[in-house]
Amino acid sequence: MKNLKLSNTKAEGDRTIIRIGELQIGRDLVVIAGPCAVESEDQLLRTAWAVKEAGATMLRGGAFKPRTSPYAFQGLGLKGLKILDKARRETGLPIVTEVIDTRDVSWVSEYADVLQIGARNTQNFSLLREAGKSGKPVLLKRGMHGTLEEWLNCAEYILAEGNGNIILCERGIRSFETYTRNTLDLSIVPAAKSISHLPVFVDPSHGTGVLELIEPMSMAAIVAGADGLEIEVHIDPPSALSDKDQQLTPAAFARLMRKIGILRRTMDTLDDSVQAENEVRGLLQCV
Amino acid sequence: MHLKQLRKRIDLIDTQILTLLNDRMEQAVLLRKLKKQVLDSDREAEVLARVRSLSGQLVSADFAEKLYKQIMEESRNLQTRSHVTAAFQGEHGSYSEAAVLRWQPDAVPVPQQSFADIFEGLEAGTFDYGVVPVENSLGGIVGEVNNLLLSGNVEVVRALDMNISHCLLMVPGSDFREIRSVYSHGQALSQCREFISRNHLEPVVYYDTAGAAKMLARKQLKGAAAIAGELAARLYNLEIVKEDIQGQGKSRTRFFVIRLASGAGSAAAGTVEGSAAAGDQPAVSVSTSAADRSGQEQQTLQKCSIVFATRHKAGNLFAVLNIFAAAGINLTRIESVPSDKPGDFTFFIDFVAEPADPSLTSIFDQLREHTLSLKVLGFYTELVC
Repeated sequence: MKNLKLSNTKAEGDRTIIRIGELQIGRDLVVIAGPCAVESEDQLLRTAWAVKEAGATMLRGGAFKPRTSPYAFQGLGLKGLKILDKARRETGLPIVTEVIDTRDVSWVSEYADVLQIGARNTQNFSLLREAGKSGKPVLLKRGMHGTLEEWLNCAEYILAEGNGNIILCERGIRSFETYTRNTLDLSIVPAAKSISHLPVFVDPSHGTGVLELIEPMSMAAIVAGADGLEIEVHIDPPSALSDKDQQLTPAAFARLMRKIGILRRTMDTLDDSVQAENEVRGLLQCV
Repeated sequence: MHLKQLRKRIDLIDTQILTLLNDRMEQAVLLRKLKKQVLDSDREAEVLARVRSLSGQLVSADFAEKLYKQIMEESRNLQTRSHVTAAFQGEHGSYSEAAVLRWQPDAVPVPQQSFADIFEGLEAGTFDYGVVPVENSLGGIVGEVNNLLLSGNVEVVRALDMNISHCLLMVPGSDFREIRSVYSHGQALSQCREFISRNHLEPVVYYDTAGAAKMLARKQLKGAAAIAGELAARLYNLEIVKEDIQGQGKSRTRFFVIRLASGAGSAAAGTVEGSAAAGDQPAVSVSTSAADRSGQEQQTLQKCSIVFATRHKAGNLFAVLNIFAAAGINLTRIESVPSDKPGDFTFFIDFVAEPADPSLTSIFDQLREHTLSLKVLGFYTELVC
């Protein structure tokens, strides 16, 4: 990929680590959880405490929603940002929230710890430039029909403004399959990590759009080497104003968290285990 | 849409009417100290005649009279109750007013244009207390107040070390993305300069933080914001876009609650009827219980403030400081104020001291020995909030 200047890996072991408070994105296992949209203070705060309890390390929640239909719930706007701010003060969880309009970037930066650029906006180049200028960490979703090269070029727009704090997030691509909302492309995780030094996350909620698939695909993402996950959790999914079919209950999320915790520890020791096994085999051959 | 606009205008006018009524009641409460009895029929007749003559086409003379009879009745009701009045500098909604209410939620805060007005009013017996800022953690000392404390006949009865949270305020319902200019006092603007430049706003210096909020609300300015406290947002019905927009450093302001020095009130005693002396003790105890009621975490310190001048000679200030060092007393503030004569300085010192401490007598004796003049501004409790 000859166009890449800043997002490509220059040397082995060269990886971007983004620090937010005590979190080290790219090193620690980071799980961003929270509702699709901020609907009310009560809904967000209860969800925030529940996901924190389960072990989430960051809180998500949309204040500005890019909806397919202009008549669907568009988000609470400024009020939503203030609620997110309050949730951060109370729970201590850093905030990830989407920005959809260049005019909002500096204001959203006042409230959020990470700006999210959604799949529909990954090639909105003026928005990318503006997010780059803000200096805030940016979670850049993969466009729903974006190739790896296009995706990394989007990251270049942010990097070119001097902002190197980018998280890539796979969220599924359009395919011929209609059973799932999108086709979660997990092969992109090791591919992106081999070409780029940027941390790579996976969003299994949008990636599948099917409740039962979120847990297995989260585990698969960890095995594929993802640095983190972004998962939609709602305190009461049936009452959600958007994406009600893909938001987990806090109980389901807690179960998922326990499993991926164990999985991640296993993954961390995998190479050592393989080596140990090789040694044992070697010894056996000598005998 | 049209109906909505007219109703919005009516709401705005109502806000203004109520603000003005509050100002009128404030004057009535202040006036009580100056008149012998609550009911003054001649004056009431005069007011009624005046409002009748001012009435217009829609507000008939009869209606104006009926309305004012009610207003004056409420004034008399207020005058029969006893109030603790506390003057502060600035417009309603300022940080100083927030300090008054923090100190004593039942006090009647009275706005004054300048710090000098507060000191003059205390000496004339117009109000019971004054609440003045003495220093800000980011902005430094308030020089004018220090000078007035030096020359004024007042004592410090309380101190508050208060956290200042600057808020960005706008007219409710306007689009925060359209904010281009931001009005506030120069010091608040400078404390929020990082926020202002990050968001590409144009700072406009105004005479007062709360004054900027008041102007914004009155003119219903779109595309503009004000930086002021949360109290100003509440009083002028403005929306808080963002709290705590000051830079990295915490902004804290230290306020003194002052009153006419006891034993020095003789000049004003005729008109005050000893209100400063009589009203004070219970007032302070009320504030303590109010603070306890609020249940907020509070930290208090017993302190003493003094002012002294030394001869302009090597080692003189050191000799004074040495008295405190030898006694193991912690100084919490030392400030020098230049005097009229070049080279001469007056010093402010605050130190931690229990008024009942027996060793203080000997310390004050030693201080008198080493200083040209010594004035005790007061022993007081300092509240950190």
